[in-house]
Amino acid sequence: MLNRYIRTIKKITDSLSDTHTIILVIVAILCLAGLITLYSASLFDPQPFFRRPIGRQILWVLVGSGVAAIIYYLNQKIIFVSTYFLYGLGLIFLILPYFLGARIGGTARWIGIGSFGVQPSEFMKVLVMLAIAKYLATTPYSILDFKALLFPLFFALTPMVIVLKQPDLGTSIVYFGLLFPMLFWAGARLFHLFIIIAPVLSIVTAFNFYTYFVWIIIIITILYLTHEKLWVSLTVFLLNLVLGSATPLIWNHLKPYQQERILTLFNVEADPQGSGYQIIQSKIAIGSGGLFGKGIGHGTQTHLKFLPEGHTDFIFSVIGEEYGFVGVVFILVLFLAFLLLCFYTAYRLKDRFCALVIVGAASIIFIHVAINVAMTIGLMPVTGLPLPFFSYGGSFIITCFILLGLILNIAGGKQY
Amino acid sequence: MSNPYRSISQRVLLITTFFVVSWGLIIGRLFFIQVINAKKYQSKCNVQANTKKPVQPMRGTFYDRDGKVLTIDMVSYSIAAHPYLISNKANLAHSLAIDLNGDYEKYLTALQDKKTFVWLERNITGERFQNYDKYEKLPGLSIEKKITRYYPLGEIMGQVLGFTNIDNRGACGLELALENHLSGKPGWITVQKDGWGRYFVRPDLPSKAAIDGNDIILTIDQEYQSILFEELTKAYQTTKSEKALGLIINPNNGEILAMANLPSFDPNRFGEYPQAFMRNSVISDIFEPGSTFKVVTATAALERKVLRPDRQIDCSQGFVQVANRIIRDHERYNVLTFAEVIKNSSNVGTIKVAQAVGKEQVFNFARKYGFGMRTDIQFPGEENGILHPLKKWSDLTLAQVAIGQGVSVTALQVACAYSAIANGGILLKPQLVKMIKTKSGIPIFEASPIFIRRVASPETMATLRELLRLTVASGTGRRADISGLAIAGKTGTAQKVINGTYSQTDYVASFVGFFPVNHPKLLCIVVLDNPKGAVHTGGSSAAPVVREIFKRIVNESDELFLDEEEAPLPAPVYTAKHDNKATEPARLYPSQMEVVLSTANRVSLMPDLTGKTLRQALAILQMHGIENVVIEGTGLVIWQSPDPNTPVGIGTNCRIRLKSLGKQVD
Repeated sequence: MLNRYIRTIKKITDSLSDTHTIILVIVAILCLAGLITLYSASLFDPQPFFRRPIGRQILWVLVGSGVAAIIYYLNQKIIFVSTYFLYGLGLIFLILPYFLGARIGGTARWIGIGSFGVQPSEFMKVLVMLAIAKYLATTPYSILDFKALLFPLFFALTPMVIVLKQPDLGTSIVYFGLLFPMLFWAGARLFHLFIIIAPVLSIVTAFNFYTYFVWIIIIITILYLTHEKLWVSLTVFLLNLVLGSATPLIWNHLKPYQQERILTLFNVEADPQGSGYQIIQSKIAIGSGGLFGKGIGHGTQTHLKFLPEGHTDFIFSVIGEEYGFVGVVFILVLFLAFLLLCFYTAYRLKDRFCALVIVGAASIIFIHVAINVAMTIGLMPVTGLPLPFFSYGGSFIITCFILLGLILNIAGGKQY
Repeated sequence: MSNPYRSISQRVLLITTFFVVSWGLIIGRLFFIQVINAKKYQSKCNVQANTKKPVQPMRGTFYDRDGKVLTIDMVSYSIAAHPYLISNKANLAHSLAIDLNGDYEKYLTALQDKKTFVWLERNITGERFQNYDKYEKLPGLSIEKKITRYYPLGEIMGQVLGFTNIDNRGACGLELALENHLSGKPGWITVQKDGWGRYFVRPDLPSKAAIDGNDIILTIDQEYQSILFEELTKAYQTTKSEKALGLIINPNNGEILAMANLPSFDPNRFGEYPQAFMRNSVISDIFEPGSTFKVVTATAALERKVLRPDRQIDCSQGFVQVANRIIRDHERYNVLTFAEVIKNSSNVGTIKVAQAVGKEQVFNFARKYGFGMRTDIQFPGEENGILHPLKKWSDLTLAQVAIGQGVSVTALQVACAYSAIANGGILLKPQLVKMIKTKSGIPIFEASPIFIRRVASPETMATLRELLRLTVASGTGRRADISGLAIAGKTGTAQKVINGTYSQTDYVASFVGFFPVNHPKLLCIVVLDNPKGAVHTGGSSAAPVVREIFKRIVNESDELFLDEEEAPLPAPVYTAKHDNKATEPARLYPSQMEVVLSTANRVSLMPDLTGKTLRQALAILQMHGIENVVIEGTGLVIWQSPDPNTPVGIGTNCRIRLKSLGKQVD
């Protein structure tokens, strides 16, 4: 009798040691926690259950699981071969909302299918990642050559520009951000990565004379230390100088809400009713949760509607308020475990494409979690990035499950 | 870094480190917010979500002396909705239509409105909305509760009660005077506010109950008040007076039973009336009294024993010259007795008496009667009246004051002065509040007669009452007489001062009367300001009003059934009354017996006698039913036993020690 139990437990631990079972379990826990949080956040929603966020999210999770299962059983070769085609298709869909999309809240993100709106930019995250992975796996150039980086840069920047026009700052950050872990993993030179990131930093620092000044000195120092060819260094330097100086013009071109969102990073308390209001309320929600939280359904910030977007972008604040420090650390540790497992798997894989896909998928999840959480605790501006497996939103949750399907598929070691 | 594939483990390590460090940053920040600063954020959270909402107490209610309600607080509701928050609109409209007996279609269209805020019903009565509790906490509905004060007697009590303003606070009249008692103390409940600015009542959070205002039982008798008001209205209309005012007071304890003045206003619709209508003219308007003031001279003459009622006075054919002014009588009298001077209200005769008495005594008695001073009744806006200081008096002033010119009084002062005549010589403070008690019935104030001073001896007052009885029986006040009631009183017809001279066309006609003459129970004054037409004198216009009032009161009240003997003829009586009698307290105040008995039955608190004269002290003790008094020394009271504010009752032994302070104070 006892032996049977021991054997059962051993069987479970055996199966758990299998990487992708652990990943599956982690995602299942995260999904469940997400649904519980969403249930709490929409507890006093007077609508019938399946019209509430929670009801719909359950539906999306089921659809997402189905999609993940399909992708899990797909032949890797099909994925590899169809990558560029899908990427091109993705770009077309990305432009489509401008012509036939329903504008929701002044943004052209959605394509209407029946009564549902589909956000192509979410699925595009996966396609950008696959395209970059395939190119890096198949490029004839050495990864040490900057030429090898030009196409990945193009793969990321094209959708990024389209999405920025929508305007959707968060998603464009994802496209751009996932480049770096992938290129770095692939073995690109840090100097090349610096050349790619430098313009962005030039723009950001140009808002303040002193930060800009410091940044210019950093550029000079790095250029000096790396002993690059003089014309390369000079070009990089002058390019950044021009870009930084042109920033005020670019700034004036931004939408006021985007301006506000960026400004929020620098001065949160100045505007309690504007975009700073969200961060203040989010911090109050998280802070008032304390060590152990107020309990499910007892978060006053959430239920008294002080917390805006409690079921989408600011769902982490709901976790913070209702589960407390213990709860959020538990969730974050699960995410970290998930990411590290992915890297561990990627590290073991011989195949370059497979490794890069896993690293890319993990990077997407990482960027979302890090930026979303940092946003809710006032470390970053409000960029509107949802929290994977938690935030309400059909396109996004399905994207997350597609990533999960890819990871499980490739981690399973099936060869194409 | 030459071979990227060799350094893969380094790169993995670097990326892993980067991830772990960023997680560490985030968790560190969370620790800072959630653990170190948790208290700060929790208090911020509570401050923005929980607010104290005041709970208004119920305002005290006014009752008349018989417990009839004079004010009613009516609850009304206004129902509004935020349509976007209401899911089942048809259902709500249906149930509201049933509960409010209202229009289903109207509610439904309102609820389906695209606006964020719509009114469903405004100012519906509490009776119509009895299912308030059912809707109170319904999301999307917001119900305002409003308390409106209603005055069932309307303009009958207009100036006396006053009204409350929009904040439910007293704005004038007794509502203002007793605001501190009526208002109560507001409490609060904790209300939760949400991010959209909506409020939710949370009974589980701390709260403080409101303390309701105290109920006030007035000395006013609603029936008397109605009678007074109706009779004044009749007089106001028939004489076309500018103002008509009247007061009924119990002369034995100073309780005001009715007080009204016209034109009046309805406190339920106070916005529709001019401010001037809200004045309580009985207390706030002064006028020259005319002949009613002659009793001051008469009291001085009798009390100082300058003249006896049967003393003959030469009325010198109806006019007398004082300084360079000639003052005339309305009829030419040759020789009148003092009694007849009062009875016929002869100006010349009164002036002659005043000259015999001297201005010091006339002034002294005017002061003793309380003229020129507030009665300090608990009512806002009381006037002093005008009584010029003695050092400014000329011979002409004396002559004028004797006949009630050059002085100004309020109707209340006249009533109080005549009450002193009626009750045997004691000036009492007039009172409007009989009792104040909490809503739960605990009394916190009970009125008892408040002695101000002795004006004159009971004998003098008895003589004066007989003179006043004569005035009504056969003098100027004949039209106030009701056979069998023995009404005593005095008329007054004063010329109004217009642009500095006495008008020949505008008068203030007044009559003050009380009955029964020997043990008066009611005293009534009626003043008509500028009555038009032939009847402008007090005797012809005001006296009949008082008669009608007394007649109706006697008809409607069993207690006041009287069998008073006709007052005896003057001449033989007066001589006998002038013997000096012993000044023992019990006999000093025969007309006070009623009060003495009523106060003696219950335990009262020992008054503070310090600084009082012997007479005052004895009178005060008398009113508390204390008759066993040991007196030591003379002068002013410097010590007493029992101590002030200790309970005393009938039969309590009392000791007072007096000490002369150099000069004698009467």
